[in-house]
Amino acid sequence: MAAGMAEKIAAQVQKEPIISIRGLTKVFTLGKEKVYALNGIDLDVQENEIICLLGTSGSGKSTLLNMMAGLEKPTKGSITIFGERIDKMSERKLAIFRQKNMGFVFQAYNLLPNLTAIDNVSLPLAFAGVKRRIRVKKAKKMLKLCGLGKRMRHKPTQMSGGQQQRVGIARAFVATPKIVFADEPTGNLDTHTTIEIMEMMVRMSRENHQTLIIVTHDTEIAAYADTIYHIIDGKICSVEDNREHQALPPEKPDERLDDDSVDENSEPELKMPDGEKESHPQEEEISQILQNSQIPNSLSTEEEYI
Amino acid sequence: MKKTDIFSLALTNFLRRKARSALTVLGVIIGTAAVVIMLSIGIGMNKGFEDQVSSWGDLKTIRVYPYTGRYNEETGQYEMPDETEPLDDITVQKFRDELENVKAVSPTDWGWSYMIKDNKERNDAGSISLLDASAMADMGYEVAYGRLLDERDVGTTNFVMAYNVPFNFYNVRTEDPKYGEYASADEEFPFDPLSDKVKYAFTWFYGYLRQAVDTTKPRIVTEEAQCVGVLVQNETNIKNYGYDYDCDIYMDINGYYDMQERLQKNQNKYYGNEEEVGISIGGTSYYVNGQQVNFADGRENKYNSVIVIVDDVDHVRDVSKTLIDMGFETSSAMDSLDRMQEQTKFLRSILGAIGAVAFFVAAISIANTMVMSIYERTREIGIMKVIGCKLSDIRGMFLVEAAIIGIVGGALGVAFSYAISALVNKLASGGGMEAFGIYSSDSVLSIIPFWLDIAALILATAVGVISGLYPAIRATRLSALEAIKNE
Repeated sequence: MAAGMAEKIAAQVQKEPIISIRGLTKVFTLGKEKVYALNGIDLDVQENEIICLLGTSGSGKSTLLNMMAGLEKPTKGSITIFGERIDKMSERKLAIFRQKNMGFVFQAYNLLPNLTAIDNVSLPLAFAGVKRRIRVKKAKKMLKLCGLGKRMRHKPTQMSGGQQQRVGIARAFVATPKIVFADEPTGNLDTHTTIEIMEMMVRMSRENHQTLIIVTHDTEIAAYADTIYHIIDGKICSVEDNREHQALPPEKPDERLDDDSVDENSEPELKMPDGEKESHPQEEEISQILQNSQIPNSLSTEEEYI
Repeated sequence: MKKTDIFSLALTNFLRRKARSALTVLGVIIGTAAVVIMLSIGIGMNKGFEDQVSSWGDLKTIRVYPYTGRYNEETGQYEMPDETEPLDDITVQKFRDELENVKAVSPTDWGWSYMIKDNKERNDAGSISLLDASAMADMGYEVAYGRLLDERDVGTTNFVMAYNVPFNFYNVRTEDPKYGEYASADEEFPFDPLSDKVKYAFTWFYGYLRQAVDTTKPRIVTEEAQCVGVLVQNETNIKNYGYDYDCDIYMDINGYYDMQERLQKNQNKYYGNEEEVGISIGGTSYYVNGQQVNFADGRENKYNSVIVIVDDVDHVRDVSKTLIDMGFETSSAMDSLDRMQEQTKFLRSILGAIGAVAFFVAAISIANTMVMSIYERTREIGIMKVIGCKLSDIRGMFLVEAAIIGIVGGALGVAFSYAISALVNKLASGGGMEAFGIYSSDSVLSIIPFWLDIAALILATAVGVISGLYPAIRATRLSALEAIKNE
């Protein structure tokens, strides 16, 4: 199993990178002083790769992510995604580009407070002009996958942080974007929920062959990535191939997001890692953490928040 | 993004801040109602003047006189034409042939004669309205009994009388004189006015039947005449006052002039020319500064004036202008109406300005609400931008929300203005109309025509969208990054 995975990854490495960053520099001017937020970053991201930008606060990791998402313009250098220069794109084009290719998970969840979970999740589809009936169907399916089958008509204020972030993940993945950005996705969550959220994201991006880019300061989060880029003072100081030690969730090849047949009454079908624990050393650690902290071993656990 | 989705998101946002939306809508309601009410008062005033002026005489009627010169405002001199067009049969025919959009042309004058019935009753109230018998039907008269004058009556003394006339005869020996008895609506006549047995006659002599006749002189001449019809009562007057005050007798102008000539001969021959009893026979000479006005081609001015009745109120000004260009003087109720409306134009523009200010305040309030809304929703807008909402969709959301405020406010404002309008009319009915110089009993101060409803609604929506334009553009310019920064 591990050997097969290694072959797959090796095959992908041969391919053209989907994100290619060259000499990326961002300079902020504070008074007379020039501050290099990013200083000559070179980075390639392959299709279906999970990377982590690891660094302390102020290292420039978030700036790098914002630029990849086209939210900020670089001072120098280039960002090419799917052969298109993001840094040269107009805001109008960027909006459509993001709509088609990118999903976002935020630290502060960033759900729209006056919309229900379903409406929040279906928002990217609404922006893309998908009919209401279809997008509600997809959103419901997504929410069930994220273990929120009973929270679909709740508003963000009626949900816990972990539940809100699951809605955020459902929203990021619902339109099956090629790339999902996650900026400190578990920054506001407790350890148990952090594990749930991370495994959910990693599994979903694996299942749909999506590229996941995680920004964090937490090495435990970084452990879920294929490749870890350590960023210090706006530079990549080391690249770590993490595939050998990765915290891999189980695969579920039978479940596809673009399958429209949703049974509305069915319970969430997320499976917890149990049968395949042995093949992933880090998972043993996690399950130990789970046992030690005596948290119920289920993703569909729901606490009541009103 | 689908249009329905943009609309439903905008509606969600509109309904989300209920108190603030309600207050903004209230501003639009007041603005719309102010404009509608102010305009409706302007419209009501114009209508009031129209009612008042048409009660003086038909707005479609133009009275034509010979042109006798005019003051030159620059030199201060009165400029008299060398010669001017007279009002005679040639002119009347010319009007009939050449004027367009004209329903009837008739020479006109007033006559006076004492009317005798069956040689024992008198009617002293009857002035005689003179016209061309052949044009009477076209002039809009209607009969209750008998028929109108027509071609057959040209040059005769056949006459038609107003509904009141039969009520004004009195027996000189047994009754007091009657002056202007008015019949109530459809009141039965005291006698059959068209009966062959009733004999009518006209005389110039005031004392006829009343005082002893100088037996040394020949008998006073009276002219027998035949009544062919009785006019209907004027409905508007009946409605307003309960009676119609028309006591006139209508006769062919040439037939009357001939009769007067015969009566005058009798008067001159035996009783001397007594000007004060007033036998007049048409045609007026005009003197300006002691100088007689010459008429073209040595013709005579046979008629005092000529009436031209136009087919539609909208053509009155054109026809008037044509007549002036032909070399005549004109006067019409329309002139008075124009003058009155001109005089109150200032008042009406002030009313309009008050409405416009109210609407402007409403527009500012919409813009303010939308800008506030953007500040509140900065983060949301940022999130939407980051997860791929098109700029045009964001703009659309805000414009639609502003338009919703405009439409809702406009619709409620129009409804509200009907209530205000009713109130204004109630207050004005107690003497308020006179304050604006309108003396017409059945007029109201505030009139809201249907087009004003539609126009107000469109205006409110347009103002909503325009006020929302700046905030909407501002929303699209928000930096998505700033908006979603963790705080």
